[in-house]
Amino acid sequence: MNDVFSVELENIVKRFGNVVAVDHVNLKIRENEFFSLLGPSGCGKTTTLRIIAGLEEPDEGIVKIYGEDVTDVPTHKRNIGMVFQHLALFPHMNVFENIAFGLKMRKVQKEEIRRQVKKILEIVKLEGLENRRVNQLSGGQQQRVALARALVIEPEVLLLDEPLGALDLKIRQHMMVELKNIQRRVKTTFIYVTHDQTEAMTMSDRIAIMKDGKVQQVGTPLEIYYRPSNTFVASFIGEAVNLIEGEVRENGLVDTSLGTIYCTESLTKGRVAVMVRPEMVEISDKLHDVDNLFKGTVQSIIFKGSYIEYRVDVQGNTFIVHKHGSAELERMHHPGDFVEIGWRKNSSLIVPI
Amino acid sequence: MKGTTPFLKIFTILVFLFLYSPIIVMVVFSFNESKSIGVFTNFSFRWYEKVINNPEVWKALFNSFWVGAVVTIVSLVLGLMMAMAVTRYSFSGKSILESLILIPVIIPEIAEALSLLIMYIFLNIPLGPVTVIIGHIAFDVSFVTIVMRARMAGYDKSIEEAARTLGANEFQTFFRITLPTLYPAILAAGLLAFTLSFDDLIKTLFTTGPGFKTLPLIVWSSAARGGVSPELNSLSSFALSISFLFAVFRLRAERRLER
Amino acid sequence: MAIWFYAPFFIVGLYSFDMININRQIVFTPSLVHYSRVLSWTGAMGIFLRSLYFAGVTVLLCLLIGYPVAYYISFKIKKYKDLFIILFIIPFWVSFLLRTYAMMSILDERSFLNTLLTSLGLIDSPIKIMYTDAAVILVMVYDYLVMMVLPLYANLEKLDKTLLEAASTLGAGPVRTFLKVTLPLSMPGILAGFLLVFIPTVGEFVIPELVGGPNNYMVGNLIYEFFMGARHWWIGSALSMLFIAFILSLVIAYVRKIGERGLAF
Repeated sequence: MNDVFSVELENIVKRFGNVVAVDHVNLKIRENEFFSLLGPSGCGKTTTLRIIAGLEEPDEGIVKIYGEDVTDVPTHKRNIGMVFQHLALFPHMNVFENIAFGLKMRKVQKEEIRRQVKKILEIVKLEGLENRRVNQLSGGQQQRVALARALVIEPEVLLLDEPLGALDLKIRQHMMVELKNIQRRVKTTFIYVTHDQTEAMTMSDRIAIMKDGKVQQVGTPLEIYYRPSNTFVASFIGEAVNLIEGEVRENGLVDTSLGTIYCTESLTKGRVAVMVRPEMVEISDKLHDVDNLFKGTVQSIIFKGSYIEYRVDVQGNTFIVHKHGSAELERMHHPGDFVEIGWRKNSSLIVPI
Repeated sequence: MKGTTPFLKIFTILVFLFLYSPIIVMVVFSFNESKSIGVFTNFSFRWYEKVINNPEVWKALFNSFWVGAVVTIVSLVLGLMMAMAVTRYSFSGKSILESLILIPVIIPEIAEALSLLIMYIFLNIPLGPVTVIIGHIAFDVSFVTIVMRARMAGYDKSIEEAARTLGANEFQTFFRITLPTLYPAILAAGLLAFTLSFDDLIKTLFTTGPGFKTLPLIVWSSAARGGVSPELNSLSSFALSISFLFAVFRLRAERRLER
Repeated sequence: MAIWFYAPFFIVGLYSFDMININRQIVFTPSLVHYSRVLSWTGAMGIFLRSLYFAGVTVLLCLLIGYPVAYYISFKIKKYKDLFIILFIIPFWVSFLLRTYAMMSILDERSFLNTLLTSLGLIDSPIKIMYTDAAVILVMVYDYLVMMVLPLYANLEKLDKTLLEAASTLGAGPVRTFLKVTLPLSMPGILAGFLLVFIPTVGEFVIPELVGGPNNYMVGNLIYEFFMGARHWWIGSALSMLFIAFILSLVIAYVRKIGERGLAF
């Protein structure tokens, strides 16, 4: 992998009064990467994005774009594009004027502007809507205008602040695929802020998980899902997770209140949490071929469409189990049933506390 | 309350009648041929001719317009600045400033007007159009600020940030983005300021100098002197049509604002 | 900016504390003598009480007239609601002075209304209402009714109408629903209307001057008399300051209790 970085943040700190919104953040974002900042609201992800844009000034630290220190460069002189949470389309301008604005500010020739706007409208699939007023467009179309407006200036980095938040689920799913395609086509670094892990997982090359102004983990979606660096990431990512606290006895063995749990590896010592994803857990009247096996009672069962979610009580601890497949309907367990749950040792992972 | 609906309907109709009839009677009798204000004899433009041929009326109308225009422009600039200051920035003493802006609206106008007069006399400022304009502005700015502040409360600041990310500097952002998007609010506030100035009686009455009269002053002096007369009916109807025109503009501006 | 507006009141304040002498020089010997003269003078008190009484009756009449109208438009009109409200507001587009004059034109002894009523035989002789308390109050109601109806209407419009349905499913009859649900919920509108009518009417000057006589004077006219008639600026100033303080305290009490939202619509 060639390591050209489009954006680098070094020790960024931003305080609002007594609140530390961004707390010593270090990030190196690669060229042409789709990079997401993911975290619950108030975790500092939007502030981090606004610092990259120059809309907020960091109290400490350095922002670099393609190696150049831009910390003191005002927003309008940084070559960035930004798509805002509520889109921020100019209400007094039509689609063409909105998209052309950035080019006009750069004193591009009229003919050239027309040509470039036409080209970008093709990319975002809005041909022929140049003269529409922005409030006559649907949510999805407005989205594309905002994207086109930010992309037409060929920014070095495109910053997106929860741009899909206001859309319906179906359009949102469609736009996720679109966005990824557009990113591949225009070959620009996208930095995407969201609180929605589906969006981040679907589109990103890498994700930074943030909480309380600090970066918790940076990694590919796969790494973040299967190798969370702490319990916060483990429980924040994925629909649900089973975490059992315990003490490492020796490599691959963790003592918990439920007994010893077999794991593949355990490099750390001391107190840890064992993580098992719900889809890794087997459930049956009688289980074979598992390394960890517990007896429990079904508490509740929820039909979720493509899978069934069981909550199983094991000695006062609730396990969440996801079972896929239509055949399961016939062999469904019911609340109150005694069942066995279990998983192989390579499905249980040790997470530092 | 089904049973009360007819009663409510009749009551509402009566109230509308109460609101409209004085104005309608005034307008109708402005076209009366006879001098009577009680019996309509014949349709005539007689009193209008008298009004139109009165140079004092035209002078006053002209005065009202230019005073209103100056007051509107200055109040708009100052009001826009104040509204932007209180809606966008936080600074110490902001809430005090906000209350200070509100207070002029609630103080009785007669107290305001006489205080202005006392000040002008105390400072030896000769009374005339300038003192009238200063008085109008001092109070209209509050109204403009209040209207603008209310409209700007829902203003999405991120469109300015968007402009900046697209390469516009602060100057370009203000003139190409901020001002055009606020245009309907500015129009509505401007028409309000103009109407307030154009219709103002009390402040003008006490802060004007010899010979400088506005339209309301002429109506006032003839009403206070001679009471109801057909000539005053037609002058009032004439002034009414101007107020009306501006009210229609204002309504249209507000309509545009809601969209 | 604020200084510009407050400078006149600063000078009036100096006068009221006897800090400006007859030669318009500032003297640093503040005194409350003018305040004590105003406060101990029963004539001024009487006029102040009359102003309160006029404004109070006006507010009450505006409420009694305005509530049914606001209620009717908000609850009973389905289509063209906006049109009704605009129709209601149109008379108030006419300037305050012209509205007052229009009222004079029908209250006058020789007016069309009096002629009509006499010729119909409903009254024997023309109603002589000009230059009475009733004329002042009637014109004030006419001029300020809109200030009561608009906040009331805004309030009733915001009222969640399913609450009324809820009340009726719980067994409340129409009268009880009105008294126990609608009326209490429209209290903020009533209070806003109260303030918006009371403040300008209590300080009214033009209406008593035009349709009232010396016996119908209000505080505004008294202040005017001191400044322009008697030319006693010191007492006029003390009176102004007291009156402004009175009105401000009313508004502050309102804002403390309800907030300023109800006043802007």
